[in-house]
Amino acid sequence: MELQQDEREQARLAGRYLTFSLAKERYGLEILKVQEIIGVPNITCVPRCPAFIKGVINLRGRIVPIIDLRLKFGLVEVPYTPKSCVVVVNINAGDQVISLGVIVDTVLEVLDFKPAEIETAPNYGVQVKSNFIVGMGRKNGGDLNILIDIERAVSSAEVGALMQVTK
Amino acid sequence: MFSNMTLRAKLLTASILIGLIPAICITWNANRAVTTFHEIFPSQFENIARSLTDTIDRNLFERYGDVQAFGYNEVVHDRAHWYTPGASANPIVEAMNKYVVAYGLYDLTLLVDLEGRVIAVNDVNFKNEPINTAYLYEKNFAESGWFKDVMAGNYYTAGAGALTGTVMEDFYADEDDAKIYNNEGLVIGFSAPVTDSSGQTIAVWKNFAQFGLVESIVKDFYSNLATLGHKNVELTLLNRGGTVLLDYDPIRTGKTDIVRDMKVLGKVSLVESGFEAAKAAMIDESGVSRSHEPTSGEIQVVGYAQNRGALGFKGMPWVAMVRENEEAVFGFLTSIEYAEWIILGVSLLAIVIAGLWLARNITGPIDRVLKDLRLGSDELRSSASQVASSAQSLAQGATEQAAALEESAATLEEVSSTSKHNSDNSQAALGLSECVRKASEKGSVSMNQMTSAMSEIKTAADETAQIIKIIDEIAFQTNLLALNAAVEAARAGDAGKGFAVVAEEVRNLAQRSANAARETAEKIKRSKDLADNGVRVTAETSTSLGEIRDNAVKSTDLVKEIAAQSSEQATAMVQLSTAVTELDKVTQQNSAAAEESSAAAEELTAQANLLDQMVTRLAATIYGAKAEVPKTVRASVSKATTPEPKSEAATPKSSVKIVQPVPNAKREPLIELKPSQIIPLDDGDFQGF
Repeated sequence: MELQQDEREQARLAGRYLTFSLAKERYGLEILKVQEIIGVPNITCVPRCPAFIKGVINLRGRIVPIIDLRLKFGLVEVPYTPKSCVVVVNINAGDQVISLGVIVDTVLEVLDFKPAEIETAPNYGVQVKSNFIVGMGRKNGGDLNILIDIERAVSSAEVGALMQVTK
Repeated sequence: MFSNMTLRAKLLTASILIGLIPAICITWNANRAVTTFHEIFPSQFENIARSLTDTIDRNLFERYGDVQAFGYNEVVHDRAHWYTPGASANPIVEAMNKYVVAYGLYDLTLLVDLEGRVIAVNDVNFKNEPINTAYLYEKNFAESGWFKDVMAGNYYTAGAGALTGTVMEDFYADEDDAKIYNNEGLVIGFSAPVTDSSGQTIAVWKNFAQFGLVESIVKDFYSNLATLGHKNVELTLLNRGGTVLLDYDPIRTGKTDIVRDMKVLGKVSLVESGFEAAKAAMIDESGVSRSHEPTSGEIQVVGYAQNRGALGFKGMPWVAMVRENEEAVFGFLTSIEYAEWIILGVSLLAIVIAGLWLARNITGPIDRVLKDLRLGSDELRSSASQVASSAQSLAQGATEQAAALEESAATLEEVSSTSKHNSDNSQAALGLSECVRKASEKGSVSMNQMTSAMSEIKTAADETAQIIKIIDEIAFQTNLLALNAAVEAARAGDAGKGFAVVAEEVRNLAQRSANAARETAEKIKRSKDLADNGVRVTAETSTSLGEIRDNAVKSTDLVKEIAAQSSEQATAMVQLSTAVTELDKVTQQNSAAAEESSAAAEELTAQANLLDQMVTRLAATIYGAKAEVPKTVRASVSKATTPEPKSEAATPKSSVKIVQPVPNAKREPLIELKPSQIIPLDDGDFQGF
């Protein structure tokens, strides 16, 4: 019963992922959620925001909030390098779809994981807020990629805050 | 025997002998004198006694003649006045009174006729005072002994040729005299016949001489004796029977007058009472006796003499004795003897003390001198032996030194040639170091060029790296584009599949180009690092070359100095050689001198031993042959010398030092030529090499 559920989940998760690196770890992001990838532009700081929200950018006329995934994930903040990128993702917030810039160390490649190449997320218990990790992807015995759901990674309250920023 | 005595004992003995012999001689002589005095002195008593008898005899000789002389008075022949008492009536009495007064020593003078009747008698005493003699005219003396003797012609005479014509009655107490004068009536009677012109005897004259006459003679005699110093004598007159006639002893009686003890006089016989001197006096004409006086019990020296008469007078039938207590007689002799013994004792004591003092005063300094001498001799001996051993070692040392000096001379030759070689080599080294300097300068120039080349390489590499960085950025951007394209293709769904492939290819190209750029960058970086390294090494090499050049310069200078010093050294070596030759000569002399001093020291040791023997002999003379004293002296000497070994030990050292400085003094300037003092270099200067 559970196996079947895993298989379904694997089938559901199978697809193309944009992989990026963050603190030497590889992460995978569902490619359909990605709008585009840009270098780190000038970021306008917004006061009175959570620390992980670095500010906003003007992306071709649109205001896009930028979050630092390192900070979001509780990792050590490092200065941005030429290889640091902003992955602009679209997330659903209620009935709205908002764009969000996520600063990663660098983008790596686009990988197409088959169901067999995906392992569902392990259950860490209720204490850990790890529900944004949807699984682990491994391609032909290569590096392990942590597959994340960016919508889950950003809580609704935060999304609200983000929306407040965009307005 | 004397050799075993100490000098002190000898001196003491000698002084005692020297002092004692005269003292004993003097004492003996004095003793002999005393003995002689003992023998001679009593004979004085005999002489005194003799003198007393002579005095008495000479006086009584006159009395002997007086009676005859009185009888020659012609008044006697006038028979008309016979038998008439009173001077006025009888001129004979008058004459008699005149005689009595004139002579002053007759009590009575009596004239009797041939029948014994009194013709005349004096009627005054010798002081011309009247006396009662009238009753005598009533008496008849025909039966009197003296009358009979006169009538019979029994005169008191010594014999043929001697004085005669008088009958003498020995001392007796006459009753008439006693009656008339109211005393003891002690008289001596002198009687003689009176003849007429035809020579016919007509009467007999008798004089009663006072015994006081004899007593006064004795008193005068005594006073004469007293003036001669015999104050304690007792004068005694005895008759030939030993009966006491007179005894005068003013000291005993305490009276200057003669005491007439009538219990004694004419009654007591000293012969009978056992007085030895009296007995002897009865037999011998004169002599000296030492007798025990029976009444007083004392021992007396008694000089005695029988009256032997004088001037033809037979002399009284008496014996005179001069007596004195023996102790009183010989008292002064005894005191002389005592004095002698005391003087002898005192002089003995003085001699002993003086001898001790002398011995001490003489032996004390000699003792000290001997001790010093012993000390000196011991020190001299030990010093001499030390000098001898030092001289021997000195001689040996000098010989060894001479040998060593010859070796040194040989070595010096070698050193001299070596130093010459050094000089040549240092010249060659000078040329070489010059070459080194030039080469290092060339190398330095090349290195500078190389450094600039390296810098250019580095600059080129930097530029290349910049380009590569741009390429890398382009590849990154291309990658981003490819990824965006892939995102777009994914959105496009199936329609975008081909596009996704293209995007993938583009991404691969971008990836390859990025990889290539990275590899190139790495290579560029490596080459840059190598260039940097090269630059650094070049710089170091250049520095080293500079140091090499500097050091080559210094080295050249040093080699120059070494060359100069080597040259000087060679010169100095020649001087040194000369000095060593000189030194060798001096050492030879030293050696000879040391031999001589060794011999002298041996001689000194022998002399010291001789001195020691002499000191020992002297000590034997002073302390005696068997005496232990010299050993103690020697012990004290050794004790005294014990603290001195420092100086003694120091002496040979110093003597050695005296010898050694000679070579040292000549070596010193050479020793001072240390390279460190000539070449002004520290060890640090060579670290660059």
